[in-house]
Amino acid sequence: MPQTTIPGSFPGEISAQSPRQTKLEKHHFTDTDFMAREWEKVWTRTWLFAGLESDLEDAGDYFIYELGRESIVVMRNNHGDISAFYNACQHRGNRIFTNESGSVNDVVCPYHGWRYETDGTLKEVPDRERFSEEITAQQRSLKPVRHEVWSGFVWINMDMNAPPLSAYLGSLMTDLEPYQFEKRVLTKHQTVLLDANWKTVKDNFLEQYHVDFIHPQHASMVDCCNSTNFLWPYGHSSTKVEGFTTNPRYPMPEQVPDYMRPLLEGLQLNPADFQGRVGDIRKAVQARKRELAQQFSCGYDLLDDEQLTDVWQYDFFPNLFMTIQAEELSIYGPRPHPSDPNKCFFDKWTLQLPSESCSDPKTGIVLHPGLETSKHDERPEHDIFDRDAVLNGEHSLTITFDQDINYLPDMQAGMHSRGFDHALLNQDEARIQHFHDWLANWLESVPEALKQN
Amino acid sequence: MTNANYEFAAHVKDLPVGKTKCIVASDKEILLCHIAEGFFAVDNLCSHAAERLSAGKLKGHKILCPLHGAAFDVRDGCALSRPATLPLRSYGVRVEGDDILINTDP
Repeated sequence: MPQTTIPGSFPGEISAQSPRQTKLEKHHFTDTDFMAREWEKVWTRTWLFAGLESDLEDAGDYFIYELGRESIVVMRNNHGDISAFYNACQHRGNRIFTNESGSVNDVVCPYHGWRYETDGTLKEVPDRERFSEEITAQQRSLKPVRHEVWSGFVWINMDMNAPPLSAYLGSLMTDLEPYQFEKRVLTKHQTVLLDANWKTVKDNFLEQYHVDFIHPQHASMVDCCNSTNFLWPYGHSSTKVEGFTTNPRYPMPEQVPDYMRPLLEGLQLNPADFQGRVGDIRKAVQARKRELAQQFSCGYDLLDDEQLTDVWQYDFFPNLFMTIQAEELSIYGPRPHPSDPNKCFFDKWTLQLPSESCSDPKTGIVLHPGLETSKHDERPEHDIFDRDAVLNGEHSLTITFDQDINYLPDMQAGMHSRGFDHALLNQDEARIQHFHDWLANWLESVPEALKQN
Repeated sequence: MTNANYEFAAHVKDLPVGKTKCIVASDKEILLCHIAEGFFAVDNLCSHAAERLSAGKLKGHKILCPLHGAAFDVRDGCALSRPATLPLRSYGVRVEGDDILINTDP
């Protein structure tokens, strides 16, 4: 039986349905002209996840969001708010910040020393009298970029006239608020350079058809066969995969799978009690977490039963995924390369509930194994590496991601062949079709409901 | 053999975690830093353009130069980012009671 796919809508009767059925032709993934159209029509007009608000604790703290040839500074300004501006000095265009993060008192261009406030306002120009025309802060301050913060995440939009983030994300925002992402701590920040188009990477994470073949270990963790997919306006989508269960394509095991044992033991459920009853574990875990909700300040009380055990994955158009569990969150997605459609940067942030809120030394209860990062720990370094470092075991983004990374460049290479023309998708790949249909819409024009008067 | 000339630099109670203090000893400016892992001391002048790092920010184990943005690891003086390439000299630090002592002749 195929997965279930449900088209959703946003308030105001905004439909997820797209009027087109786009053919996934290979040039969409390999062509520089197509890449240039994406830059002009998609990347410069959509809301994009830029980073974490927790990286902007004090005035002057900044991080750089690089996308294509663009570099955007996101900074906590001296007024306590967040500012975002293009990383280009208004004197002669020099890139001001060359480190990906840091903290400054003022924004100072390292070339001629033009100085700006932390909100981008021009402050000082050395030898100002040598310029024949008057230099004003109004004309020569750093050029701003739209930005909003939601649940601890900073989003930017290069279109100054774009509607607010809430219009773009619609009901997805309210659906996810119970998770209280802002309370989670960063445990890993990784970027890997891949020889694949950004959409080749995206499509991989939009279907579970490949899971049985590439990720055999999932058979004892989750039920990917019966996932429910949801399609949302503007190209977003989501899927729900039941956790604390096994793949129904294989006989239900008599014994609790090894992977689940520490999870159950941490919750003080006895794995032996589920001998011959592995199918009952999911409900038992939901009931147990519900019981513990009062004792732990981890936010279980705001989650529904499915959110307590299942894995939800959201795709925010154009390039952001979140895989969400009650205790963990992975944020990941591809950023396009500045010039080569056959390359992209794949970023991954791993966040977890802080160790303080997940275990009780007195009773020995541990809500989830491996949650060892305290909210007082120093931020992890940003690890940047290439695919070879994953293949030879020097770096890992977890086994599932590593397995995908192994194959993605081969998918990209194969699409260049004279022996391949366009993709053929099945029902379980409906989210890929949805994404490409909306990409085609965006390439034509901004969706009607998002056009500002 | 390494020489050692430990000089008094500051009182523990006067330098909470996250703070730095510039000490002048033997004609050198030395930056004493208190991070979560303990007390560390490095040159106060940036190895790139000799700006005073005491005017920059201490973030975790990194000191950030206020002029061009270079970052150094205060634990060993290593240059971590552009435009600096050369390390800062690192100095031994000892705590005796409430006194922090720096080896000014490493």
